Amino acid sequence: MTCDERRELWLLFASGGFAAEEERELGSHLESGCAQCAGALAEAEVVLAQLPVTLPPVALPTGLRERLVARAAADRRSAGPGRPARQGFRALGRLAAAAALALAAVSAGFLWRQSALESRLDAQARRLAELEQLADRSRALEQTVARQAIEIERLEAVVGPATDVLAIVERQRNEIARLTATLEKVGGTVDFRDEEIRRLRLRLDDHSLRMASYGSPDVWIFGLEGTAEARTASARVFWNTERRRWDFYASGLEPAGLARTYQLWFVTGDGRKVSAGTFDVGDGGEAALIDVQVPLDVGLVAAAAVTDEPAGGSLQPSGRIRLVGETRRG
Amino acid sequence: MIRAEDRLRNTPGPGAGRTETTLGQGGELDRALVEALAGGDPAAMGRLCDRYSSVLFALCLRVLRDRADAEEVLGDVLWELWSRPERYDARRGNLLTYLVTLARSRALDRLRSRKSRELREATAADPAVDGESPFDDALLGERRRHLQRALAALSPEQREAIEMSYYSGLSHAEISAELREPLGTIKSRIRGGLIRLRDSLRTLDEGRSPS
Repeated sequence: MTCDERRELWLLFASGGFAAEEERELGSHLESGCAQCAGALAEAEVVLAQLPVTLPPVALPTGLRERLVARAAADRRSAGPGRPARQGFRALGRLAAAAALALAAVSAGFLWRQSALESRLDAQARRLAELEQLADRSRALEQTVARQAIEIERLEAVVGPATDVLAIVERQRNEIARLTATLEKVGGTVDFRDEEIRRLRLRLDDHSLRMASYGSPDVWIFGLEGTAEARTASARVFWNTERRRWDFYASGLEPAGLARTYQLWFVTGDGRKVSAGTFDVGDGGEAALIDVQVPLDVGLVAAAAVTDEPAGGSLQPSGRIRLVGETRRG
Repeated sequence: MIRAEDRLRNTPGPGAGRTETTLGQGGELDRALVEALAGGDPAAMGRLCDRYSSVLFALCLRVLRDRADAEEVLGDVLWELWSRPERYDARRGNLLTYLVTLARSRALDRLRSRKSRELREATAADPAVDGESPFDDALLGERRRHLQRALAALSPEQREAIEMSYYSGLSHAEISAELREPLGTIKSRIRGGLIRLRDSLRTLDEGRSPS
């Protein structure tokens, strides 16, 4: 059989229904390194891969995306900074590894923030434990010095004052004064840390509640993609349709520029654009707009977009579109 | 038996790549996406889901007829690309082809292990359709509509044979037995139908209107 005769067989081969003997015959020809047939098979696979594209869309599993992103973030954390780069991707792998933590990227952004808060809490707790250990050591030293002072006084009563003993006592007293000052300072620091921890816990609780709410069937989750003006940018919107509120998280955005700001727009089905608020980006190109109220007169929002606008925002979009996406139930 | 996913890893590419087909116009996007996955960027996993989970889940569900099984296979396939991005070689085909082939292979493996011919037949009705969202529509756009028209233009016998082969993983001999038609007829139907689809796809990719 010639390669031309085999040509149409690759479609059947790729669909996988041949008997074992037929498959073996074609497979061994392929293994002989025939580039023409390998090309025909690759093309056949492309054709077959289009079949599922024709299937009617189905409701996606709830939360699968978020679970996979969280799992990827955890996988990345466990692999440490710059997880081993793979064949063919070494240079970009390093770049992406360096960028990933800073990005707290759109879909993972919320989880990342939560995780960052938890890390800060852990760090604060460790620091507090260290300070408490320092305070314990100071108290123990103070007690030792006090006991030595009593002992010296007892010895003086027996043998009379001794210069070297007095010098020791003087040094011990100085040490007590130093430790007392340290303790006072530590006490103030501990109070400050306590307040910081309380504040972080409140934020963590707030994030946890918000995250739990994202699992509600009333919440639509969809993404916005960066346009040619902002290829690295992306965003994710959590739309609580019952409360008519949006939480918007973006990442990878460049600073809007001097006297400029970013503005989020609701786009209605009939093409009206209604401002959802302005925002600026942080150091890592991140931004968030939380609890944005969707006005009652807007109706069903069909799409969303982000443009750059003069500082303070505009009544209607006038700048370049940086992010855009259509709403979908996720 | 040569598994489809093994073929994807082992065969050289088609050279000029006449049917450079991706969802939307995403060859460049796909390359950037796979590179971000390789670099360990968790957000890339989100973008991967956004871009492909719709088609892949529809495929898994069509094969398995069970949402939980389909979800599991979809999760495994996406996770595999995260874990082993180097297995995907853009020179051998586009990302859609790679993921669809992998998902179909995994779904058929699971189907066979379930030994659920009865289930397939008992639940032959299509799963609940959620309605095409504007986003999906924008993503798939003209390609989906074009392919749907091309598929609809096949004879019912060709379509049936292709679907039994592709989604149920039946061999040509099994299809022949089930439909009580000669084996050669079944092969002709599948081959003829796929050739028409291929030609239609070429027409689309070359930017001409289908004849």
